[in-house]
Amino acid sequence: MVTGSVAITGADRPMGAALCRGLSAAGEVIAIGESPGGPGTDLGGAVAYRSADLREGAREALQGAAAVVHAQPHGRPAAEGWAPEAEVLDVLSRGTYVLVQAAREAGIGRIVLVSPMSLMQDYPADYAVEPWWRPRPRPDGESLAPYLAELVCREIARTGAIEVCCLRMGRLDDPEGTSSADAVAAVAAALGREAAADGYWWHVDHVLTGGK
Amino acid sequence: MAAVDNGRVVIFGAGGPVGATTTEALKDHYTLRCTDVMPLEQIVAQERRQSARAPLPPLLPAPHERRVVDVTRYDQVLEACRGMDAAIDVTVLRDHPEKAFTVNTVGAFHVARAAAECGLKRLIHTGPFHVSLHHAADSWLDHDVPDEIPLHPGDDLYALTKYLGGEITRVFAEGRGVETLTLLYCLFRPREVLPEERGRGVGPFTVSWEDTGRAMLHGLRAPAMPSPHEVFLICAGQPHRKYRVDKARRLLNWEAADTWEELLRRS
Repeated sequence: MVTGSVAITGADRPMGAALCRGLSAAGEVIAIGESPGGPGTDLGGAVAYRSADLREGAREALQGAAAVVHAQPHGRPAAEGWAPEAEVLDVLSRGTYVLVQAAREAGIGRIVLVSPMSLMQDYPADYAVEPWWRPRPRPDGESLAPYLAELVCREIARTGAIEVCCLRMGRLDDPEGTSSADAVAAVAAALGREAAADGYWWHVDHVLTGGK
Repeated sequence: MAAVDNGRVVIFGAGGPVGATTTEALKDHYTLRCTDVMPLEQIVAQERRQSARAPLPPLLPAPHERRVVDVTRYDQVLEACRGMDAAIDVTVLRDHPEKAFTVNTVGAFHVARAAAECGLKRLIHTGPFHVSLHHAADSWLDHDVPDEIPLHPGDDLYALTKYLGGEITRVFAEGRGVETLTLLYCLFRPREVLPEERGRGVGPFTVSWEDTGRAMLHGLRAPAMPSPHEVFLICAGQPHRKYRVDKARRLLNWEAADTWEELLRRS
């Protein structure tokens, strides 16, 4: 069980903002976004917004946090061309690595990672895909980047250094995706789950409201 | 894809010791484009060896080429792959908190993407096999470890960033049909055994510099692989049998010539 402030990354994007609004109703939230000018959207009450590039500023951004919801990998786009592809790969691989290390240093025991369901979209549509199936990222930066974020979290979690619950979610409030209400409920539940008695804890769930 | 028996091969990271021994092994069989982020002439002039007995890159005459290429720049990688039949990526940066990602992870993305875009026949990717990473999920306790064992890099910067680069390469191989061989290495040493080294043992996953380069030649010349992405442990077979060496023998027709009996036996 996590008590205290929850830091939410990707707060300047739809999923992170929705989680800020939903979780701030129950407790203090530290919203972290890349946009220096603010989130550009309503984040709800009792929310402090911190602008940070996680690759450089994760430690400062997490000050005062007791848990981390890493929502940045859900829907972090890359623009056209090669440089943005390299950028999104670096943002989500190195940024996640630095974030996890900063969380460990701060004594934070758990991260909830919000990842896109699109990692599983290339399975045939009639398959009942389960969370433990192998992700199928496409060979492009935007698809690979959240997969790398998952791998960084999984491999560090495997050492027992930090607990990670990975929630793959569909497009926010899309009929085939994940509703804001379900996203908030799933993250709250992941934050509230009992810790592993021993060993390591890496857990994956799919959170879909109406789709497959 | 068919074997690459001749033609043009680009080497990324040619200035390092693995690049040097690769160049040496391939220079009489292919026209090479040797690239590194630092001019090879400078590496040689300054004797920038990785370790005391590690090789320096040969400075080959034409028709071979030398070129400065930064693998963090896709435009440079793409240009270096144009007109090539195959690419070999031996770039690595171990300890730098930023460049470990931009070279080992993003650089691997650039090489795989350029290989796909240029329609190269084969890509040889390389990475480390860490025999121990000091956490309970590494494979140090095991024996007869196979080539396909999933790597568990933990939070080790070098191991993790190369692991991510390896996954990117696999996704490109499977998604874009770039036939890719990933050669995993750990420890290197010279073929020559000094008198004072006799009976003092050798690391569990070791290969000579000379055999390292020869593995690249066999990797290019091996017939079509069973799948678009194949992983090989490149080390000398040793009596302790911690690591299997039969897959490289079977699919690449390569096995280490140097097994250093004189290091293993009490003198």
